[in-house]
Formats: sequence, C-alpha cells, structure tokens
Amino acid sequence: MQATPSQPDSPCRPYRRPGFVHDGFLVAELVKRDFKARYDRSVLGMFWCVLQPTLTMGLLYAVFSLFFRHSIPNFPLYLISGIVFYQFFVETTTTAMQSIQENAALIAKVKVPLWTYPVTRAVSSLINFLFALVPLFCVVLLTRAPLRPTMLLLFYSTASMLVFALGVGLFLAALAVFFHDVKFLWGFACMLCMYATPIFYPEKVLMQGHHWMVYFNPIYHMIHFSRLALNGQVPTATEFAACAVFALLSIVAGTLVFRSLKNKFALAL
Amino acid sequence: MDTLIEARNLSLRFSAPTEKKGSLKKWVLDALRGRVRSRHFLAVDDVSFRIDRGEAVGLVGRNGAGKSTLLKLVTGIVNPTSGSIAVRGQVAPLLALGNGLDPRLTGRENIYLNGAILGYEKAYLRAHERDIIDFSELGDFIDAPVRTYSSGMTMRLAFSIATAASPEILILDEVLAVGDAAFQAKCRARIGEIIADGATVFFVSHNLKDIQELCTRAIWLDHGRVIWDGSADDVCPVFGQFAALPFLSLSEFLPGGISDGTVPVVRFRNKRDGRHLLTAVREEMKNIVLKLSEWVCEGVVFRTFPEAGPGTVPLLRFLNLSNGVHALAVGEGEAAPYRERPDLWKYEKVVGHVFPVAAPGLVPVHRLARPDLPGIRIAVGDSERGAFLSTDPSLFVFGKPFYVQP
Repeated sequence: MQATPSQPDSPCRPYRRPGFVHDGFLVAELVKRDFKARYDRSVLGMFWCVLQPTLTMGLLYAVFSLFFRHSIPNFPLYLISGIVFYQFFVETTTTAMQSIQENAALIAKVKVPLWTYPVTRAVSSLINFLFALVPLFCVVLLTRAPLRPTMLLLFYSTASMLVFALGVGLFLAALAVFFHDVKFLWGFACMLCMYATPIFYPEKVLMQGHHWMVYFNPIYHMIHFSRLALNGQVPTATEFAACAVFALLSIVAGTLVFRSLKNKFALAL
Repeated sequence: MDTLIEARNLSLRFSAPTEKKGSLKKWVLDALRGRVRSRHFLAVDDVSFRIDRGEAVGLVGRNGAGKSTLLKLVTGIVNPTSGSIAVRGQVAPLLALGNGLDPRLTGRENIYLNGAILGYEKAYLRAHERDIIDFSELGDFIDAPVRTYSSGMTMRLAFSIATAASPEILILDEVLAVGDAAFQAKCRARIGEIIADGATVFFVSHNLKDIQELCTRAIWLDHGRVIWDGSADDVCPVFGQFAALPFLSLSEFLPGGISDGTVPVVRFRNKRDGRHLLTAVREEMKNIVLKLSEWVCEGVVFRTFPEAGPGTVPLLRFLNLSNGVHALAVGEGEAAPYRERPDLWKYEKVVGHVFPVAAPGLVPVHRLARPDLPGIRIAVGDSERGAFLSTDPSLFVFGKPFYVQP
C-alpha cells in the first residue's frame, strides 16, 4: 500500500523511508547543528578547529623539545601527528559517550534511530580532525620534510582510528546511560592513555621492558602507522593488520553492547 | 475497515529503584550483597485496543494514569514488557513540540534540523519551507537564533514544522495549548484539516472539550488499565466528573472489585429539572446516554448489595415510557403499581439490595418529588433531606425511606 498522505500538490515524499541510507539527511543535519552550536557566539568560530591543535602542539613542543629534541628526528612532526590522532580519539569517544544523555529530552519523545546520535558525534570529530590536518601539514612544510606518496596511507590509519573510536564510543554511550560514573572514569582513562602512549616521548622508552604496553595499545598502533606513513616508510603487513583488527574488534563489541541496551535507554534516561 | 494501530495485552513494567540511581560503586556493592532493590509497577497494564483508519481517538485519565507511556509504546520509543503493539503507517508524533529545536540555531536552520528529526525528507522541507514560515507567522525573525524568540514564537515554529505534512497517524500530546488564542484556533483548524485528510489521530489532552470536538472515541486509562473504551460523548462527561473529584479513587467512584462485596451507587443529577438517576454498575453507565449538557455526575452516594441477603429488599428502577423519567421502587410491594401498567412503566433493573428498616450503621435514603415535575430526587441522610427541602419548598417526601450502607 503506497498511499502517500501528502498534499496532492507536493511532488516529493514527505517522510523518509526507514533504513540506514535514508537517515543520511538526519545525520547531516545533526552534524551541522554540532558545529553551529559549538562555535555559537565565538569570535573566531570555525577557526578554532585549526587553532586548537596548533596551540596544544606549541605548548607541548615548548615543554618537551628540551628533553626529546635530539632523540627523535623531526620532533615537531612526531609531536603533532601524535597529538592530532590522540585528540581525534579522545574527542570521538568522549562526545559519542555523552551523545545519548545530551539528547535525552529528544530520545524520550521522538523515535529516531538511536545510532545516529553517536555516529553524528564521530562524523563531527572526523571533520574536526580534517581541519587539524592543516597545522600538521604546515609542520611538514615548515620542517622541510618531503611530501611522499606514502602519506596517502594516512587515509587508512584515519579510517581505522574512526572505526575504533566509534566502537569505543558506542560502548561508552550505552554504559553512560545507566552509570554516570563512566563519564568521570573515561576522563581518567584518556589521561592514562595519553601517558601510556608515545605521543610526546620516544617509542624507545616503552620498548625497554614494557612491550605489552605497546602491543596491546590500539592508539599506539594507529599513531605509529601514521608516523611511518608521514616519514615515507611503508608499514609492514603486521602493522596494517593490527590497525584493522583493533578497529573491527572495537566496532563489533561496541555495536553489540549498544544494540543490546538501546531499548532500555528511553526508560532509563 | 483496516486497523492501523492494534495493541494486544500491552504491558509495560517500570522497575524504579527504591533508592536514587546513579553510582556504579553503589550498584556493584548492592549487587554483591544481593540486594538491588527495586519496586516494580505496571505503567501500562494489559491494555488492548484497535484503532481503524480515519478514527480520532482521545486518551483521558488522571495524571500518572499511563497516557504518555501508552503513547510512547505506540510511537515505538519504548518497547512493551509483554504483549504486542502493531502500527501500520507513517506516525507523526507531536509529543515533542520544541524539544527538537536548538536555541543556538536560527529558525530556518531549525526547520531542517527539527524536520530531519521528525522524519521529513530534505526535498519535502525545501519545497515547503515557505509554507512552514508563513504558518508560523514569524516573518523576518526566521533568520534570528531561536534563543531570541519568545516561548510563544518557539512553539509556533515547532507546531508549524510538526504539521507540515498530513501523516497517516498523528499523535498529539497536549499540543493545542500553543501560543495565543488566535494561533490556537489556527492549530485546531490545521489538526481538523489533517483529520479531514483521513489521518488517524491519537490524542491526549486534559481539555475534554477538545477531545469531544475532535474525537469520535475516547479511551479512559487509570493506573495503566483501560477503564472504558467508548464514544467520546459517553466517556468524557463521566471522566470529567471523576477528574473533578480528585479525592475519590476510581474504585470509590466506579465499582470494580470492591472488597466488602457491596456495590457503590452513583447518582446523576439532571441539570434542567434537578431530578436524579441512580445507577450501580459501570457497564450500565456506558449504555445510558448521559449527555454532558444534561446530566452531572455526583459521585458515589451509597452502597448496596449485589445479591439479596437476609433482611434486604431489591431496589427496582422503572422507566416512564411517556416522558423518559425514572422511578424507584423499594421492594416488590412498591413495585406492584408500576408492574400493573407495562404500557406506561418499563421495568429496567435492580439497582441493588437495600434494607427496608433502620439498623445501626445504616443511613436512610429519602425520595423527594415535586407536584409540578416528574422524576424524583434522592437525599442520602436526614441532613441532605433537610437541605433539599429548605432550598426547594415545593418538594415533598415521597414514600418511606430505605436504608443503606454509607
């Protein structure tokens, strides 16, 4: 039965069909809202997307260049690639985690596919990340590092990071509905992750006797992969596989948890 | 007729923790001690109904009766604990007027954002952007951030977006209280238009007039259960009387599993001539055509026994076929004159079983009449009899009193 209840003069269908594909418009509008709302009433507006990673990098460079300038070739690039990817991970997971709670009023009233909320946050973070690549490539140019074809492999590590972070975000979002503590715990976990991952210190530091901390750290693999690509090296098959495995494990686990709990959100909020 | 919404034995159990929820640590500790205490209650309790295409159904009930929860089950926001709900057709929920609006975006940006949330296609919103803005009467303000709007303006925009299309099923939760009187009239007209377009409407409102105007049928919920599913003109007046007596619980107002075995008798008063009508069972209230304009429900006045017992006599009700007025007869002795004239008096039923003589713990019920008017008035207790007689001196006591449990 295809009787569309729209006014006879309207040529188009009023309501979207249910399904993954047809929710694109919704996600697009939610992402737009994210950006407009985030930079509402700020003078620099979207410019902050670029400014924020630049400032962080500047600060960390000022502090840590004293220690590690000589042990790491092209320390500025090493530092900013670490920061940009780490920030991408933190932003995606943190905002996705809060997405269900922050839209509680809406979720309790309007039937919208619930996955759109965390996915929207992941897309917003991805766009932010792409802006943050501007200062990264500025550093590439300023340090006179050559532009190499292997840099295209950044697409691979970015995609792995996106999928991995979204999986974690889905898991956290579902959990945060029932236990608000998750928000605070995750803030701590992110800090832990920053120190456990070679972002501003050389990888050698952890390789001495703490191999496991590196091998089982998904963030490390994705950042390491990106740095290889930026330096013109082709990562080994193991490195390709590590990124993919962590991303897949995370998205599968996250989706399963989210799906099994999502029917309880409306009542728990 | 095809059914668009069908609920079968729908139940939703809430597990409300007895203590405040929130902390992971506490939950883990409590779980380890084996006492995650929670209270279960049924927000929706074994509800079944069918709504056919083109029907407009009102949902009435006191606060907390489960109306909003039932709407959430229908829109699919929450899933039932047991039972099933089948909805066929595009549902437009107007539960969330204004909830989908972001104060930081402009009105125009919100048309697309809120439109997307409500499920519209982008092309449709493009084509109808002008109509939405025109209907909302916002004019140039449409490009100002919504946070600068007055609450009336915000609601106008929200209503305009939500009703931009005529859906197959329209769900309304208290949405007609939008903006000023002129805009409210416009909203009613728009809803009427959507109904005329053939939409099926499920409508929650505390304004019974709106329900009677827009709906043909009404469902009365109390504590999650369907009390009465009938014509809006039948349900609304009786519910209206119940809603006006917040100190009475439903079991006091309407019989339904009364524990001591007695049956409450509800008194109705005719607005025109003041005559009374007594009725005992809910099923009968459904059948009696109680027009809101004519009868006022005065609630439970006394209790009778459903079966004959030691010392009781039946209280019989007769209908005068010439003028539609009721008469009450205490016992078969009093009923004999009525029974002799079956062409004039139609025996209707036994209202209940009452005592013919006084006893401790019983109150007298007097029948009063006026020589110039047909019909009787029922005074429960001597004080009420006194009050009636003093306000209307032409009333006289008619027959002997009977005795009932208060």
